Amino acid sequence: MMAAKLYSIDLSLSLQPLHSIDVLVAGLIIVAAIATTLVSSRFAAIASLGVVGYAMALLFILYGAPDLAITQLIIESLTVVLIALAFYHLPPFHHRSSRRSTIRDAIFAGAAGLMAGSLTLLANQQLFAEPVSQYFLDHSWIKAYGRNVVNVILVDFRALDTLGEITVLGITGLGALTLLTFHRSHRKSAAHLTRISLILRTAAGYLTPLMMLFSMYLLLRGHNAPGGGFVGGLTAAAGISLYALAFDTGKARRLLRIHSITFSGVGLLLAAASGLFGVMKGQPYLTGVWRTFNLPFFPSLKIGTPFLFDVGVYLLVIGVVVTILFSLAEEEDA
Amino acid sequence: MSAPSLLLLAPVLIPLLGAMLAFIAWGRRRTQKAIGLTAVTLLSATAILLLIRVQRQGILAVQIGNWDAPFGIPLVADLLGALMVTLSGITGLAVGLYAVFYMDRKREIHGFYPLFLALLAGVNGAFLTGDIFNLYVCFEIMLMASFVLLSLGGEKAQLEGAVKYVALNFLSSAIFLAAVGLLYGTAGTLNMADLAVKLSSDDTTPIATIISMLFLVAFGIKAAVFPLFFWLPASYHTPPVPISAVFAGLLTKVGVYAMIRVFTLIFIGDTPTTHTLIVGIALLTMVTGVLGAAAQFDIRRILSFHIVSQIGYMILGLGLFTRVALAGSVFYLAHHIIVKTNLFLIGGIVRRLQGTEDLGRLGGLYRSRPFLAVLFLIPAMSLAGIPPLSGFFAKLFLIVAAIEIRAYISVAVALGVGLLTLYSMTKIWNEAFWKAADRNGESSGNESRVLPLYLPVVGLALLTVLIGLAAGPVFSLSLEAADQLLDPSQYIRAVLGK
Amino acid sequence: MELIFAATVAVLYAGGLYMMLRRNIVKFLLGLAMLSHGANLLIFTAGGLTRGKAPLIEPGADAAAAGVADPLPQALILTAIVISFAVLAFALVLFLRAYRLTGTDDLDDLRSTES
Repeated sequence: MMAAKLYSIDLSLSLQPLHSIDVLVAGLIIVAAIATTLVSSRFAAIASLGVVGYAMALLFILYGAPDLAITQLIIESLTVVLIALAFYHLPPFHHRSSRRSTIRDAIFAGAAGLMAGSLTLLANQQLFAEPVSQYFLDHSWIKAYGRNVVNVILVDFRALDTLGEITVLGITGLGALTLLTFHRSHRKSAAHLTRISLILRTAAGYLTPLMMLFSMYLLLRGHNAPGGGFVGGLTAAAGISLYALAFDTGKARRLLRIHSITFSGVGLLLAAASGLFGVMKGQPYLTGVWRTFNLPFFPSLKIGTPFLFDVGVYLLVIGVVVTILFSLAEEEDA
Repeated sequence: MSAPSLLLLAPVLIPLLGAMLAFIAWGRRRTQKAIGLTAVTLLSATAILLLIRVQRQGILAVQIGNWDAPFGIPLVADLLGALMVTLSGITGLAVGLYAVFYMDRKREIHGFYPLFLALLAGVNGAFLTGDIFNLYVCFEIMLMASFVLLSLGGEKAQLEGAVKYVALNFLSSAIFLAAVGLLYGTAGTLNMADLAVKLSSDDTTPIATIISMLFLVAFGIKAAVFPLFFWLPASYHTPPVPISAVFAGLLTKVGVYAMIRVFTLIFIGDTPTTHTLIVGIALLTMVTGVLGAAAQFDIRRILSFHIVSQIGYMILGLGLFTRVALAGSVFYLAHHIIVKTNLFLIGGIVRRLQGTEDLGRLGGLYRSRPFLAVLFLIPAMSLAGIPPLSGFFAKLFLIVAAIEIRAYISVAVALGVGLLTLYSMTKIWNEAFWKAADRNGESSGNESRVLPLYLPVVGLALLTVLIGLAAGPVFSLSLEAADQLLDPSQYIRAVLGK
Repeated sequence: MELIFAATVAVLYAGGLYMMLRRNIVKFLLGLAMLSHGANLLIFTAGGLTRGKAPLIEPGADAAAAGVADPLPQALILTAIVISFAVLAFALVLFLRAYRLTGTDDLDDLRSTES
């Protein structure tokens, strides 16, 4: 019955022309992905997985998604660092599966991949209705006062998703901390990540404040240009990590003044509470409330609750990334 | 914001804000406890008010961020959603009370309360959201909180269970996410009511049906239906009792709920294909679950396998897709959340008293603890479907629905599985309560530590009896919920205003 | 171009799933990461491809120019990237603890809770 109905799907394709750069990048992803599955050295595997991630970021740039590209770049780097930190405690690859199960798994995975690919193509070709996103493109500036439509979707149109997303992230930080410290009897002293190098220390002394400043710049401009609380928070966390690399994790933790997990709690609460302003004015939760300020140098500067929301995201991201990275780094050797 | 819309927001926002406050009070055990109890109390109160309001005045919807539908994210409470939120509030209150007296100090310090509240926020968000991508996000909140709760304490068995749980649930999330992406790619919208409108023509049905299969697999894994259910009995019995109780009672039901939601609202173009498939899955789930339970000898493991078989019943109602069948599913959901949570909580008292949940080593509880024995009998007999308890009516409605449309195989399987459930419950009864104690004078003097635990257990048991006694009114409520599900135009009108 | 994107999605899914089926926990993690890439590219492609034009509103304009990329799939992917990073980070820590406690990185050996 299904098969009969499938025939009513229009299977003719309308495709965009090939661009040599894009084909190259996509090819790179394919080759690197295959390499990741086949290589026997785990460091080669993680390196080629990194290539997949960075090449994805390139594709995002090519196809009009700068915010995605930046986030992808930073997240990919973080992932590689995390996996490398964990590798330090894990044994190398062993070949375990029998030949038969290898073939079986390969066939299964191949079939699933083929299905995913064809469904992607199908969904790409079929469109039954005008996408709702036209509304965002038309109203992002006049109704939500932001020129970067993707950021406006994240902090205003679909802020509830983002609130959920940062909640997930906050729970992850808590989980990592809990798993790694539950059985630690004594308070582990700060971990030195590298042999102390004078050059690194001097560099970190300048670079960390610079990165913090840059992160705030990214946060501030995010509503109108690529950037935003998430990317800003990641940059700040990278700055703090650099500081930890140069000195030790304890000293870096003290940069935050309070426990990193409390820090992320404050960020979460700020983001969630920013939505209550609308409620107090008798509107639904997370409705943007805007005020115009006349400041010197910034005449008629509009500041609204979506910005507060983004600041919450910024703080949370710093707290969580620092929590996860540092508790992994402070993990004792077995 | 008007009072009713606040009421709609409360079940999500109260536990969420509670979780965040408890987060900030990191390390302060008493403060976190107080926040936790306050939040679950408020949650259950507002949830009940919401249910009353929806029952009296129809489906309630609010557009978060004040963006017109279908552009923003709506929260929607129809009868099913409001009922689920109410059940989640009741479970949250019972388990919260129990946990205050049960949970060990160390787990409390390491974040039990913020995690528990975050879990409830995710669950309630899933019940109330009217946006398919937001549903994914709510699932992830719930899952991430459950990942951490499951591994909280880091015992060996816990971590082994957690590895499987994380692996399977990640897979399910990836499938869910892909399905959402495909849906947006074809229909250009994420609002569930809008999706229902845009996917209602004949042209769209074939593709919608294909995508619906992905949702079936994704939600099927989360609900633990055949064949991907093994992660549930491998993990649910490993964490401390309050945690596994809320998992057993509430968590798998979110998968069932999501399945009911999308297969009554969005994917109804080709029910001979989709819903027949669901019936098949349901029957297989019922049978494999109950057979698995028969082979077990640990209280919570037996109960875990029974979750699987009972999930089958709930899905069966969806698959049969008639008014009575859907009402049966709704009734079953309500009954099972309460009964299952309670059985796990009772298992915890048994464990406290005798130091084990292994049936071979248990015994004599009937003589030493007759009250506990009666308390166990109520949910156990209800689960097995003995009249006049709630489980009897739950099964009865489903079987009547199956007879109505001459689905005799379903009738036979439902009856057979019911009998085997009775066998399992009798097994627990005989081994733990009836047979003579292994070691004499086993009462280990833990009376004061156990006493407060009875409060939520008695409350839930009374509720079970009440549902049985008031089966008529509860079932008519379920029928109303089923009517709303079978007529999506009500839901669509409430959300889109047309 | 769409065919190549779809093929890339296929390879990412197949590779990710294949690695998740190996019994090694590190390979499982790498597979998890690759599957997430696959899902993100799937959403990106399924939502329609637009080359070069980011969904930004030019200074002075009231609305985005016609023909810019669809911003919604981008927002969805951003959310999804972060969530899958969170899951990956937690899974990593969990597997690390499980390895410490059980002394095995073979997923098939983590069976004691099943019997």
